[in-house]
Amino acid sequence: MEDQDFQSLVMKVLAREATPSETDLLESLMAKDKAREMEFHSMKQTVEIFREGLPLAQALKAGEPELPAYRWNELQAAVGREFGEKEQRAVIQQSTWSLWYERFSFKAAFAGALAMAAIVVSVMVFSFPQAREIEIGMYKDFATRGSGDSFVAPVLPDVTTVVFQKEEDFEKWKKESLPQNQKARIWIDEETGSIRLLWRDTHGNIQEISEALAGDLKQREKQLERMVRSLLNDQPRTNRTR
Amino acid sequence: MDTDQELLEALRRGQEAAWKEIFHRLYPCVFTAARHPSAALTPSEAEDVAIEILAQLTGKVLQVRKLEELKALAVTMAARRAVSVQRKKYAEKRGGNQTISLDQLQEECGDHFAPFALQMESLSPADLTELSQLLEEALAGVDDLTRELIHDYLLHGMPYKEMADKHRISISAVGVALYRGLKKIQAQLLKSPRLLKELRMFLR
Repeated sequence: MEDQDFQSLVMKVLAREATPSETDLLESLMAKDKAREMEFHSMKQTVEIFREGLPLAQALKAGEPELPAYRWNELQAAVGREFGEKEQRAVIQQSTWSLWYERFSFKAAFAGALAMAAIVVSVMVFSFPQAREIEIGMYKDFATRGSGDSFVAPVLPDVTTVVFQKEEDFEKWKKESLPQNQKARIWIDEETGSIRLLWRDTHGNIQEISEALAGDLKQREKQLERMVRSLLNDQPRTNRTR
Repeated sequence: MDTDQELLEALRRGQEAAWKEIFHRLYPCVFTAARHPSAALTPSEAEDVAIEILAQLTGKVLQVRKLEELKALAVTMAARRAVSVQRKKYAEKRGGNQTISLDQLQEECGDHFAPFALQMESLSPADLTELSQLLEEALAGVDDLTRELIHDYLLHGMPYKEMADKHRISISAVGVALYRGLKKIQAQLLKSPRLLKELRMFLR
């Protein structure tokens, strides 16, 4: 058999496109000729390395697709869960002092410029470990409505963003009572044009507050962030309450 | 943040703007890795994996010295996770938490799931960067047609018939061009015997 025919046959077998008779032919050729057998195995290895490595090499230099706008809040929720899991593990596994160290270094790693604020939060959280989580809920349409920009909830360790795919799930979540481990629940109520806040005060009483929703996307993001930060400091402030 | 090193420092300090930038910058990389042909995830499943991996990076930033290392780490994590998701999916399809062998997987999934992908899951981010450079150099050394054929065959899993139709050549010419192109690449890989040895260890 000519080299060219052998090469074509080898590639066909490696691509799993050979007929049974072509596979038999290759096997009989290799049985007769050790050099061709070695050649086949060497090429098989190269194909496997390349099949595995090329997509990863492409991934390293990929510039698209962009993170979809509607997925941004899910990413923030995932980041929140990462923090939560880390801290929960720390509570179980570590002593008080090492817990302090863990909490501080963890927050410092992510909160950075907010380091001082993070220490304050750590003190507060350590004192009230059962009620520190803040959940922000929004219906999926809210994230992408309008100009195409995504509504971005604040990225903070104790804040989890929940994006609801079904309206009935969102409604159910809004009506549920606040679990013991939750400090507050915030959601955008588009029907009334307000941000609603269900909040557990320092005495354990549940309070409900609402504030008129700001005009544009950026203002809304700032409004939500201000609300969350004031909650973390245990002093919810709104522009208008009812 | 003008340089990658400054960006890495800002990530370590926990600057929110830096994290937003890195999430946007690395998303295409982790998404593409999650779409690895060996895992054959849908775009939506790959998005889920990409988000999960980006979130996990928050705990890895202190472990890397350069931003490129963080990127390579993210890519390897995403590819591994994608294969694991696909494996779990097929296991569930078979019913419950039954363990499934790699051979069974390949039999059931055909070409959509190549089990040897799992053999290279121990590839370190540094190895990946080196492999990537070698492959790039090797690909630069082959002609345009061969490079396209290699991409069609290994990246997109295109059948021979489609490749032949697309490039208006015979099916046997596709095989020969691929063979010769891959031989050149093989020679390039031989330039890094250490890496080649490691890669061989990952293969069956």
